[in-house]
Amino acid sequence: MNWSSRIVGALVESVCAGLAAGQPPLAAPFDDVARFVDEAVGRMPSPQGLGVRLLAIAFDLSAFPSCGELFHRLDPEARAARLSAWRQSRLAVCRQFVRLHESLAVFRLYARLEPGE
Amino acid sequence: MSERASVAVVGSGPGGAVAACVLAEAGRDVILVEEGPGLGQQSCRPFSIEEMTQKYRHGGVTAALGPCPVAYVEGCAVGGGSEVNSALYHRAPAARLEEWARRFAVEGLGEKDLAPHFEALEAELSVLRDSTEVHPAGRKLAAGAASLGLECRQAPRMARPGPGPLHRLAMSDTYIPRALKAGCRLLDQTRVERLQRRGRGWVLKARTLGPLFEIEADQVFLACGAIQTPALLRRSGLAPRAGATLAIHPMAKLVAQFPEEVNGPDLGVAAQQVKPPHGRWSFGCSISSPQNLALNLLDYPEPLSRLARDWRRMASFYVMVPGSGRGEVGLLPGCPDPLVRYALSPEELRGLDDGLQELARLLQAAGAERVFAAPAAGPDARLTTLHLMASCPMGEHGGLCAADSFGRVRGSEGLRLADASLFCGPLGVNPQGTVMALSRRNALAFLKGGPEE
Ligand SMILES: Cc1cc2nc3c(=O)[nH]c(=O)nc-3n(C[C@H](O)[C@H](O)[C@H](O)COP(=O)(O)OP(=O)(O)OC[C@H]3O[C@@H](n4cnc5c(N)ncnc54)[C@H](O)[C@@H]3O)c2cc1C
Repeated sequence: MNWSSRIVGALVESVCAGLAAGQPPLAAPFDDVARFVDEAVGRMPSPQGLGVRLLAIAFDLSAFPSCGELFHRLDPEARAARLSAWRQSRLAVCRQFVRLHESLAVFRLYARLEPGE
Repeated sequence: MSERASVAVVGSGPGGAVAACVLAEAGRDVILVEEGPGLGQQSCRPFSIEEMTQKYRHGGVTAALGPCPVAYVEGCAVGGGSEVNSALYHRAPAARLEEWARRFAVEGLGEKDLAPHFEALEAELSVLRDSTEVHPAGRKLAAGAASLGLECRQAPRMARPGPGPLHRLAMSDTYIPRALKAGCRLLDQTRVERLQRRGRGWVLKARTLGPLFEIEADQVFLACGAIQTPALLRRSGLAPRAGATLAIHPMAKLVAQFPEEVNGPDLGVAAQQVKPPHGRWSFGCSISSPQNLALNLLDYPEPLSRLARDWRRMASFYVMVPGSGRGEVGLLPGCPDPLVRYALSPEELRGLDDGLQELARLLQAAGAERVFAAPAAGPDARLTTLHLMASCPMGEHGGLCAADSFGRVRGSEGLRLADASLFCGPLGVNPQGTVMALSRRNALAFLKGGPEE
């Protein structure tokens, strides 16, 4: 798995776990959700897709000064705190980055309620 | 590999499919080039995750950037947007046509000029005016409208007549098979990268999962949709103003929860629409699959966490404003995909905000227990659009129009536009009927003018 897929995987896990929807069929594991989000970001138009990948790296690195670790290596509690900091950031671009991943993650997760899933 | 045809139509959405059909049935040697795959309606369930990945450009993850980003989607399959849409059908409002004709000096665009084209389409597409569809969310919208003294109408739909479940009609059911039967050739999964003038004709530099190859044609009809048509023109160094005037119908959504069931698997989208006389906004029903409800509930953790239990009692509704902001389709050096920007006007923002409040009142009057609306203004607004248009307006006003009244691109003989990019502004109603009518009108005008046109 490459770096950016690891970041997306960690982000998705954090988002899905935070939804408190952990009953089957919405419970972990979230590998299908992470794969969907990673592929969806990969399909984005070139100017925006590149921007999102760069922001993901910035997001991962931004955990280092305060936590001494990259985001994707943090424990679930520390990840949730980082996610919440970016969700409430003063910078719109940080909020939108989290928003994009949350949107894609819930979209895939709740598609599990569809018949035939 | 190389191909040759008398006429190349690029893009097989409502605009391209109708043009290809009219031209092929008139005996022209036509090739229809489409970037997306030819799958038909049976390849996946409507509004499912598979549909997003199979039939939407970029998997449906696209946004117009600006102070309030607006998420938009484009179909990318044989049939274009018609393969993923709800097939709701309207004629262009007469007042809008008049306004366009006046401001952009468009010839032959009166209600009477377009009527024969709408009539022909309606007969061919079996547009259902008085369908007996019963959709519980649509009934709620109608009941709420009645309590507020507003009129609610069921929009006509392009659908197969007869009993049984609703079968909406897409281009892959209608004009594309007809075009193929008349001898048109279809190249699917083939993206046109650039257009070049060669002699008196055109060369299309195209790619089918491999190296570039050439398609030669005497005449080209571009119908790539309101985003991709100006992008292709700009990549080809043609029509420098293309893309400068993109218009949309911005939408905000809310979810209403009722005491009884109003939702279920594969219910589709209700055709009920409410258009108050002031014209500042309109209301309608939205896709309400569990995943779409979840998207619209992102700001509400509590109902989101209960969605697995409650989704059958919930439905999504939209408020849509006519569109008065400024949009643009641009290109960044080295990027194959266009950069789309849209700045909402204060009027649009007010309309969305006021409209959401009115829609909430309407649904409460219809018995909704709870209503959840996402913010409609500011950088965290959750806005979307399904209707993209007017990026290369038609008309004789040289300073404003990329194409003339019948879609001929200025300064590019033998190159025409046949899609939603030709509109002169936001239409105010579902656009695909008007896209098809304009395309039919322009293709027939071309045939009347002769091959050297
Ligand atoms: C989810 C959804 C629901 C909608 N609901 C309705 C509705 O109910 N009623 C209504 O009236 N309208 C609806 N619309 C809008 C309607 O679908 C569009 O207005 C209409 O499809 C526009 O037609 P078009 O021919 O201009 O372009 P499109 O339908 O976008 O077709 C353009 C085609 O060109 C292809 N193309 C693009 N670039 C290239 C290239 N370089 N080379 C080759 N091919 C290319 C694309 O893949 C696409 O298939 C909806 C749209 C969506 C997305």
